[in-house]
Amino acid sequence: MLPLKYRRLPRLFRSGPVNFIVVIGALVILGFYLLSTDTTSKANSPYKYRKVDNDPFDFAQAPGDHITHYDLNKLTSTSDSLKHKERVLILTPMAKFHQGYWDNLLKLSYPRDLLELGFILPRTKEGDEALRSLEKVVKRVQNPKSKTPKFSGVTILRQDTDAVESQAEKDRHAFKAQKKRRSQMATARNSLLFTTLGPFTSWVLWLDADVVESPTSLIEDLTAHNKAILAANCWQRFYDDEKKENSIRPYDYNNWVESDEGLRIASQLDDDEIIVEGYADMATFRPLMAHFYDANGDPNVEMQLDGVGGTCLLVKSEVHRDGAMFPNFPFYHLIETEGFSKMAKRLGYEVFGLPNYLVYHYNE
Amino acid sequence: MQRFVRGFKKGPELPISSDYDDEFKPKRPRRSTSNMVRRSFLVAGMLIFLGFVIYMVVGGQGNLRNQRNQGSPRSQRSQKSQRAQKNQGYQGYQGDSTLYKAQSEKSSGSSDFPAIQSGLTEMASDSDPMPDTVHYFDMKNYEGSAVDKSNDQRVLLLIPLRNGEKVLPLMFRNMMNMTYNHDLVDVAFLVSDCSKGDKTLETLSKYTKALQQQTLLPLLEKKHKRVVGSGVFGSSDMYEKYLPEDYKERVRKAFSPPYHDQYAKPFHNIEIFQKDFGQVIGQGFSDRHDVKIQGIRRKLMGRARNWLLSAALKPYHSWVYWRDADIETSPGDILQFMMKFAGDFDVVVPNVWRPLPTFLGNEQPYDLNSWIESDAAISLAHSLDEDDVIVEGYAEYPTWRAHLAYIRDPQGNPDEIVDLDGVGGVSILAKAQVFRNGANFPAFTFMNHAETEAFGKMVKRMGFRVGGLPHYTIWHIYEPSQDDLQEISKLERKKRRFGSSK
Repeated sequence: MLPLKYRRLPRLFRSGPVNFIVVIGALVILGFYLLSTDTTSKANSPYKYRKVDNDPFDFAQAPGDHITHYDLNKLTSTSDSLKHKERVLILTPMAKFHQGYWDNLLKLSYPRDLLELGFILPRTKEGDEALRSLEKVVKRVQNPKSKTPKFSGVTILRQDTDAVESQAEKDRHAFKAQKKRRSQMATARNSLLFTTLGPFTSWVLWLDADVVESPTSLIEDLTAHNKAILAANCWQRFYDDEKKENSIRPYDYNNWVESDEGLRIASQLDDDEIIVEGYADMATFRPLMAHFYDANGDPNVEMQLDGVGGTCLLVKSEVHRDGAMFPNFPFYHLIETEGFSKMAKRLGYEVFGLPNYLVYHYNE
Repeated sequence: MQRFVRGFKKGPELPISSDYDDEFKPKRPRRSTSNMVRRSFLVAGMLIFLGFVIYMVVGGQGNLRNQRNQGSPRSQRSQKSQRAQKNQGYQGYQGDSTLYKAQSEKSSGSSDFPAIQSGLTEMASDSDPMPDTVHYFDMKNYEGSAVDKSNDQRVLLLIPLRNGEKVLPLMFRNMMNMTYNHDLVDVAFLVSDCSKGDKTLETLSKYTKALQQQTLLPLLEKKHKRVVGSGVFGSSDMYEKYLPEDYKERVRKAFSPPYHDQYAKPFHNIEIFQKDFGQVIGQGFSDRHDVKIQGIRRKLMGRARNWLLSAALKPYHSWVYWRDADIETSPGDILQFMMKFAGDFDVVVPNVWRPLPTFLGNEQPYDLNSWIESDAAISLAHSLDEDDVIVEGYAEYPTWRAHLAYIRDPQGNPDEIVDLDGVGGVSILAKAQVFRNGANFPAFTFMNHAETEAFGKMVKRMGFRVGGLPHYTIWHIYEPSQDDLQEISKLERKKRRFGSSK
């Protein structure tokens, strides 16, 4: 029994030192729990966040994952793209991998952390090979261990619908095959576009996989014009056997201005028929931007267009966000990129081209 | 008693430990009092020190762990949901941070994508792992199909909002009501063109945070009690007394426990987009400006939908579900139900009605934008300008179309589905493939329509099938018109004067 003077202590303490210690220990632990700050105590909490004082909407208090807020009002696309750090999404439907394309892409001077890449490949054997080559080069550049500047993101998609089998030059361009092929190209472009376009993209640059040469300041040059839709002139280098010298010739005939003849032909077609440029079967007599190239001319000269091709096409993201896409069905008797420019015009946007600004297509 | 027992002398209370016992018990060493106090303090001090050390070690590790995982916040989730995620066939998350940063400066914050192993390993010529910034998707994996046991299809839930602050509680309750696995649902909101003083964005952010922290239900209930208890609002809420009883009962039941087990489960991802389009001022109206405004309004709504779609759609979504915020009730398994038709149809819409006060007939079709094309409408379209937009329900555009709303039979088979040409936007379930093909909500006049009806036409033009469920109905809220309110106040006055409701 405890000596007399300890009878004044509470009963708990009187029964022995063990209980005394347990109680003190419990109080200590409780004290720690209560007094510790928010960042240290909740080590096991699934959500951690920091308080930010000057946040009017309280968004910074959102849990780390699951909720994100984007103010699309702040997205700009201006002629000073570098200064405003505008992000460019480079989209390429790729049926065949050309090393020249990739080398050219790597030479672009626009900062890579503002560039995002998107590729879509068809569901064919050719697509498999292209994918293998593409994967190899992408990994090399994006390897976190290497010192090369990296693109901010690369997305590679495999199309779900089957593609036209042969992509050899002569087959591609047979007139009858055009509608089906271009419809599938349109579907590929749309699949790529709407799944990769994100809240940060200001510009979309459509670059064909067989464009193997362009100025390194391509993006700066094109965005400087500050146009909703801008197409560069796509030509091709070749060896002229007759003159025995290297020369260049026009390649992309899809950049054109509408003509009366073209409208007349369109009015006589069935709803399901399309007009394609460059075929004797359907002479539209449209002025083609490919023929407007002037070697001594100012590369910054602009011309207004009605139809565009997709070899090198810069589009402000708001044009796509408003709904302008590449119709895979006859749309005003147009399809794919030409249908796209028509749709953009229906939405109120103007379409331009640079006849003296050349990019070069691969020569098979 | 003791008095009567002779010879037994019991003294006063026996001590607890008597000397007699002490002889046989092992003797405890005697401690001095000060010694004991000193010792107990020492032990307490040691315990405190030990506790502190353990705490620091555990807490410090936790901090480190959290810092390293700043880039992949997914790993902070509870063990249970991590296991659940593994079961969905994902190889592991490689997420860039989606933490909110200053609004002007953001990394290309893509949310977590599944790891790259699938699909590329057989192609890879080298065995390096795919870097974090590279993502590969085979779209064939994301074609929509009916729900089965191993369902792992991701649904994108898109909700455009404008001045929707009042209906947000209702909308969130409906979202929680959905029985489709919340972990497979990504949600994206677009808040646009709200009027001055409107608090849609703030309320939305508050509720989404609460939703993801699983504290939304108590928050809403508290708000409801506060709102209900605060008294009279004005005649506009009186109309609730006049709605049919069975309808009110159904609504009450829909939002009271027992809830399904997924009820409070957080969604996989929530994105809130903000974009103002500004007022569109039309030019050169004729006297029929009312009808003309409709066309402009629908084009603006189409534009808003396209912005939301293009910003939120990801390659790994299999379905997209468009939903208006002001639906009052809809079945919790609406997604699974409408997905059943995936084999034949690519876009499915239910029937949309709304309740009416008893003196107006109890119920009424609400969405007249879901219809089947008619020859009369086609020839009407040919007679119109390129930019004219046909709107249903106006005498200027007699279309003589069959509307999904009017072929409803309350006793009909809910599984019955009909082919449609135009659809309304209240509740559209579509395969993501449709949008990947380029279909969207034209903000220009497309085939003499705009927005959702033009979407229906575009989708059919691309070769997809659009279906409507005439006997499967969801209910829109009832908003009384001026005439209705006048009628209600008349009835109220009569009641007060004569004392009975009839």
